[in-house]
Amino acid sequence: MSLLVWPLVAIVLASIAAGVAGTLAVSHRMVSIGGGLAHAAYGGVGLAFLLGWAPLWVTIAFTLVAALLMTWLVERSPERSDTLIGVVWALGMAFGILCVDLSRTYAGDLNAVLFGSLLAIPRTDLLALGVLDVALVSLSWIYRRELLALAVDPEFAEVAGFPVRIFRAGLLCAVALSVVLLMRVTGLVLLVAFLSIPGALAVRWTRSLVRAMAVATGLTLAFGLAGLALSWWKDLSPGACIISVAGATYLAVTLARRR
Amino acid sequence: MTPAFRLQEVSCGYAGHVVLRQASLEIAPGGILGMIGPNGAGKSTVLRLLLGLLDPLEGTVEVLGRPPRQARSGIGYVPQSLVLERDLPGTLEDLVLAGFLGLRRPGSPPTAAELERAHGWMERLGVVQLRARKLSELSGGQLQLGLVARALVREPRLLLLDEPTANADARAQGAVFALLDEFCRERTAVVVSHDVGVLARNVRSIACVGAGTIVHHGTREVPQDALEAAYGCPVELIAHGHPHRVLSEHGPDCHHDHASCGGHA
Repeated sequence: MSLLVWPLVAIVLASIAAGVAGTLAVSHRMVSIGGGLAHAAYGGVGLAFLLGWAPLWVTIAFTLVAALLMTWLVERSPERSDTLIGVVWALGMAFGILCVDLSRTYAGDLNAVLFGSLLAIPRTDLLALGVLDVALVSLSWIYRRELLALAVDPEFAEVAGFPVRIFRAGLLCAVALSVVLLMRVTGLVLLVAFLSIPGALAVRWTRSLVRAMAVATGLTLAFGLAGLALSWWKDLSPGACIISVAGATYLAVTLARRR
Repeated sequence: MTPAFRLQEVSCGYAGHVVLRQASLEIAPGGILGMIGPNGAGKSTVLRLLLGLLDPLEGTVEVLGRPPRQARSGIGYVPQSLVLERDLPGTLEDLVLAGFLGLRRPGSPPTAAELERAHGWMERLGVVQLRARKLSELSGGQLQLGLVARALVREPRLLLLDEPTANADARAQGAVFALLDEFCRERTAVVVSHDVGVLARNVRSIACVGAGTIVHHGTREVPQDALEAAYGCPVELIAHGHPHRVLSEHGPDCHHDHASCGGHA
């Protein structure tokens, strides 16, 4: 039984981060940037692997640099933003793979990056996830009005003299940090589903950003537990089961809404 | 007296395409200025210049005696409702309270006086009973009135409105212009619209934007030839309930792209 305690703690902490960051990513149209960062973060994991340093801190630093680079490119380049996101996405992954190749050692640990390692997540990662949750919840509560106004009409916010660029950079860093810490629990593939599906459903059903974050957290937890139950019952991959439950719910709600 | 705004020999455009060429316009404070012209002529570009969202290639822009970005606390802006992200968890009251952005410290809640002011403007625009309604549940006209309220809570010295009554019915149009008329006794508003009929009844003067220039007519009456020069094709006045100008029939020698001017003048 005690073996299950830490994975459950990890699921609850991950659900809070995914619910808050996912709602912010959906409402600020940052889901594709989040997906791009999740893949670019693989470069940080590879670099840590090559240097033999602690993966958590190297990946955080690498992903924050990738996030700021993405913002800088999107703001200054005439290229379409989705193209630039795709470039950073692919380059980050390629860099990670090259680092692993150069290290000439066994890359078994990297599977945890792609698929998560719920049963073997280090306590330091859980502590970092807990700190992130507290920071995300507090800042989202304090700046809830500004976050909503910026999402609804960013041009008005700029004209009103609001520091839009600073806020957007902060938002992107919050999404980047969430991506890195969630990736250790959920894996890269499940992370993209958690950043998009619960938040997308929650913003439809609620009238305030804070309520949307609470509903998205509950949905992430429910999808996670239901997927794990399905996985245990049918002896299937847990990540794929969780994504299937979340995706099926999203499609059912979307189709029901159109009728 | 410091003008509400001044464009001096301004040229501007986007990605190699010049919209205005050495255009000048100076508006004294007080009253409503109507701005007309076909699609793509540069009406919204003039608003973007005044808001500091676009820098001129040549010439100078002054708003309330200062460069536009420094004058933002004195400017109110009503965009077209189409620019909004409506499918988000926010209410009409949230939208109107966003009008205080930039005027108070980020993170601080609205004061009782700010709430009262927001509710006051919503009431005068007839949407206060909709304040708890989600943005996605509002009609285009109701949302547009919310945007007007959001701009008015700032009590700006210069109010810029881009098609503020495009989705509103006649009653809401009347309410908006009555409010603007009262608001602009000591302040200035610029209303961009395609509807010359509505503007002619409600504004102090009209500026025609077209063919890279701006021509300011000191009154609300625009000569027929000036209107046709701005739109690049014949325009005539018809009446169906209220006076209304439309593009009239004209021969095959006219090469003007009418899809771009929206049909109505």
